[in-house]
Amino acid sequence: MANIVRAIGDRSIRAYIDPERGTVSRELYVNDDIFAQELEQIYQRCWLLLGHESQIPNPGDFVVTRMGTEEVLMVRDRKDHKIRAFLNSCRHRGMKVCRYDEGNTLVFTCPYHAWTYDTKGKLVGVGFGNYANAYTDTLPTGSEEWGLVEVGQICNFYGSIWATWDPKAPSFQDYLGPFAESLRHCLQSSDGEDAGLEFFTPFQRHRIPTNWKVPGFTSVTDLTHTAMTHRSAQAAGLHEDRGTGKETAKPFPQEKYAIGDHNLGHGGMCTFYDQLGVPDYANEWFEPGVDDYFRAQTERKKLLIADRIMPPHGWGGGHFAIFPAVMVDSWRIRYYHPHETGITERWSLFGVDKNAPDHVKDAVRHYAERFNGPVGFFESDDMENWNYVFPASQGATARKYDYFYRNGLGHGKYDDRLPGVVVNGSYTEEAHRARFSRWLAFMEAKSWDDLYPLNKSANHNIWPGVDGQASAKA
Amino acid sequence: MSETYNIKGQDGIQVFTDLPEGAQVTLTNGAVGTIIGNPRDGAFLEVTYSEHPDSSLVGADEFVFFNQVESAASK
Ligand code: FES
Ligand SMILES: [Fe+2]
Repeated sequence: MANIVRAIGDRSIRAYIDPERGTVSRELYVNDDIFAQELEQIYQRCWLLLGHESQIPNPGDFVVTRMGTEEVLMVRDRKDHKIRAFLNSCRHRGMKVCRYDEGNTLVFTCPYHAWTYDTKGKLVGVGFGNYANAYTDTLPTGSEEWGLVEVGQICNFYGSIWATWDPKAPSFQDYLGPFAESLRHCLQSSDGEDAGLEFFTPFQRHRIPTNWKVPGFTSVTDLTHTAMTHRSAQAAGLHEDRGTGKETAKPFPQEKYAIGDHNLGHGGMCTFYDQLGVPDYANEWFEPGVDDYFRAQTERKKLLIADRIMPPHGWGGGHFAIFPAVMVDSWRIRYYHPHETGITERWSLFGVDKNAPDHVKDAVRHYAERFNGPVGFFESDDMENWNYVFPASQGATARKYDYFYRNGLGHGKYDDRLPGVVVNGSYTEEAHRARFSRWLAFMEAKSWDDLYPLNKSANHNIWPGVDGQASAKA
Repeated sequence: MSETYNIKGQDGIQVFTDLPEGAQVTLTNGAVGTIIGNPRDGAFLEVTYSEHPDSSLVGADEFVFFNQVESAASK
């Protein structure tokens, strides 16, 4: 294993990326020390997706979710109905407090020695708490000090729930920067209403033997893989129309790019629209009646934004990534949780208009299952690659050969339509490079004070030749 | 007629786990309370005290552990 000095603020890790050559060392993907540092400096600081409010509609509802390698309880309080999130670890001696995936509860009672916590995370009882010669005078129940560990900040963003452990992190809106409107758009129902989605539960989960950055950094918004990797799925006719032939959409002037925000790390596919309003609806569903619903929804959306150009967003509404590892589409969110250097858990959330009739929800759910589920194809194709990348990269020989991220290097440009974001050709690796700029910034930063946007003058871009600018100085 | 729940017999743990809201419990310290919540974990009950040796706790809500509960009866 490479010897990496990991003191916070140490900059030796920079040696593992060669911006001029456009390469990244495989150590980033296979090295346990680097993985441990990522947990400390990325997963302890970044805003992470917890789930969606539609999972816990009622007071006392909870689900177990994750932040990095750790389990987190997302809970709607019984009294004030607010959503909070807590580490799923008992403050007494670390037992997993809740062993159910989801449910509705009055309290979380630890199965070990019966410390019990309410839905605000407060310690409200302990086993033998009344014994004069037991806890007396050493553990005041109701004390804030021994409640469940609560996240540093939590945000409900148009129904999606995000949290960070770091109280010093910027607001989630500032963390998103120019991608806030894109994410908002992806959480709208098909008629353009904000927070108009619900997500099918339980989420699809796969545990895959690879590093989290293989799907999270390398495969997200990676247009060059699609033609080869998904050729068999295309042949099987698994799309919305089940191979019966879609209606050809009328042309709607637009420009498509790969984009990356090197300061924030977000990026992916991007469409700039050159015309007001929204495109006409084109039939695409096999199931009867579904096109009628979506056509009517599209007509409503047309009225809503008839006099506006849609904000730039991904292709068909999405396909961009929020740093560190959330991939967003207009009706899907895919999320990669690290477990170990070479173990990752992938969650797929499939959304649908929350007010859609049942036959539409059924059709969308069936499509989601064909697309992904146990008998699905598309991400099964992807997972074949992801699973084999890790063992084929970690050997003593293999890890000496850097990964190539040079595709399109030096051809990106800044664009007024998305300030601060580098715009490049669709088939380039611009979004990938932006993630590594942000990754390195986190791995070198002492705290959020060093990081954009708290450090407003930061330029985290490490790669040369954007719009004639030199790469950011070390 | 109030019904007494047998929380000490062979099925006592299950009877305790199923105690309904509104039932009255007497605690080993002499306090009396009404069940306002039962998490059904077999461990705790949430009660409001109507009597308590510490009079400042009358009217207060608290979670009580099963070994504090002496007896239970419907109101
Ligand atoms: S570890 Fe939870 S009560 Fe002891
Ligand atoms: Fe034991």
